[in-house]
Amino acid sequence: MRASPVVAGLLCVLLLASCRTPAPVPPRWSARAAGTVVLPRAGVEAALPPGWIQLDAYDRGLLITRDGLPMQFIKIIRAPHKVAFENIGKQGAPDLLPNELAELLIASNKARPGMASVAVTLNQPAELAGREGVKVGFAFRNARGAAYDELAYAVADDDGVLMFQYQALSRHFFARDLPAFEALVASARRIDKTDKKR
Amino acid sequence: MRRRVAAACLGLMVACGLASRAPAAEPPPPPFTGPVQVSSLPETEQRIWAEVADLERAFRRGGQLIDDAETEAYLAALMDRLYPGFGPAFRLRVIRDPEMNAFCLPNGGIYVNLGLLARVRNEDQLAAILAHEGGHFTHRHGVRQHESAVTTAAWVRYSRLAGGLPGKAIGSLLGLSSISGFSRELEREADLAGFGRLTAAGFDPREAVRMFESLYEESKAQGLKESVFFASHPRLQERIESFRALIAAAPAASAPAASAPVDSARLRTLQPRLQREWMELEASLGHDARLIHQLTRPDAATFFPPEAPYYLGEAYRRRGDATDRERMLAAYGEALARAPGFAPVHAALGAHHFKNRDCAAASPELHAYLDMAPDGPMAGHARRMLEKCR
Repeated sequence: MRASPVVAGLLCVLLLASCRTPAPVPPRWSARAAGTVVLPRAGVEAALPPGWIQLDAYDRGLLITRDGLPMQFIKIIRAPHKVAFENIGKQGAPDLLPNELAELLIASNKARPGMASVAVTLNQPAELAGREGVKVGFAFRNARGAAYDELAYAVADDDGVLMFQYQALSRHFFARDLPAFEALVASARRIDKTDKKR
Repeated sequence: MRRRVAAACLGLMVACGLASRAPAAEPPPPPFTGPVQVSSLPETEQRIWAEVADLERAFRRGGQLIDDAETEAYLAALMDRLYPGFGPAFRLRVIRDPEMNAFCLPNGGIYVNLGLLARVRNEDQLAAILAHEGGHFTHRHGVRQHESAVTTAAWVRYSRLAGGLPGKAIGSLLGLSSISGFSRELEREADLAGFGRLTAAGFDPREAVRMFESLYEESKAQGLKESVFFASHPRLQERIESFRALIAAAPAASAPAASAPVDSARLRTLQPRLQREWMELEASLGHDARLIHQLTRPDAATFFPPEAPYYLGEAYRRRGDATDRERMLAAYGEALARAPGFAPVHAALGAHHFKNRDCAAASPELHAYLDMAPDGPMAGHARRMLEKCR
């Protein structure tokens, strides 16, 4: 049976299209030099720890890791009040007390897939970027049984909820990289409106 | 990206399900009548059992199970009464899930949710659920469901429970239908099998109807989703209709046997602990509508532990509707009266007054909390509020 010329032509077109040189793909990760990073959308600047790399594709703030995401990561996230806790059908507010903010963080974390059994290991007031907020610790295991610890600092202000989150394998990694995270949190500083435009 | 992957997976599942429907239907395998030797099962069924074992491991590793030997022993005894002679064929575990639900995996693993144990009003209601779930096992619905499409709900449900899809467990998607509910036909068959077991063991099947009706009212009034066993309104309504029809068809069998009276006393001794854990879980998840609905039921004051009004007050506070402030304060007051040694209510009152800049009212409550629970979860916040009040 002979293939019709139309079908043969279409096949050729498809074949040629598949040979087209692919567009260059931007690198997914890039090394971050230690030093101050300004995050206009988050409204903060902070001194990054040396030796960590940044996931470029992360567009909600900053996501860095030292040994790979399954080992540990630090996220800096700024979310408007309307969406900060949308996974639990709640909203943030500028006048949230630290304990109320912690309550929302815990509920939001527990609502994540497979996290209903997460244990809250710490819940206390703490400062972040010069404002009073909260520091909440979590411990959980993933479906493969690996134990993780997580520590989150968060504040609620007029612009939404700002959170610095550190998560790492409990074994070895969490304790090892905790000082780097704490140093990052301690260095966090709010930038004013004019800074945000730069 | 995740949506695209999920869509692709769902497409694949549906396609596989449709493809597997194509061959002519074979007669269903005969029901189990007692303990099962895995090696005696057909190869497909052995594979299914192995795959759902992966699922069970994921539940355990992910910390989803509650280690509660006393409750497990109670459930096993109840199951033994319903399915005498099956012995170790059933393995009953309590799963940390607030929904009112239970599910049975094809290998006889029955998972009873914390939310079910905390909320059933008597042993008849619990027995009705276990009898139904046992029917899925004895009638080998796991392998029979394998011949039909895997549902979307199963995927969502599994992801939520297991916190991701371990590679090895992908094949056990067929086991997921055990969790999210079987086809209408298989659910009816489990109703029938369960009804027979329930009445033979002397339980009152009318209690099952009462429970289903109450749940139906709850989900209708609150717009709540009761996943899994009560996955949707039509499914819940089907259970009601199915049980009513079974009772109408066998009125004599439906009357509870005087020779084997049902005693909910053991369940009632276990429930306060389970209810505290359930209320804490619901509160931590922010499930305020359900807490309010449950804790304002007419029998709530006697059915739930004395601390329950605190959780009700907290649910009102979080919901924050126009009249919730008064309701919240009334609930806190009731909690103080019923459980005077329960520290969290003092923290809640202290935080409420502090937020209203009323340090004179806040300070004694915060001090009371710290006296009772110096290392409690609110201790750091209470100290900070007191510092600010000074």
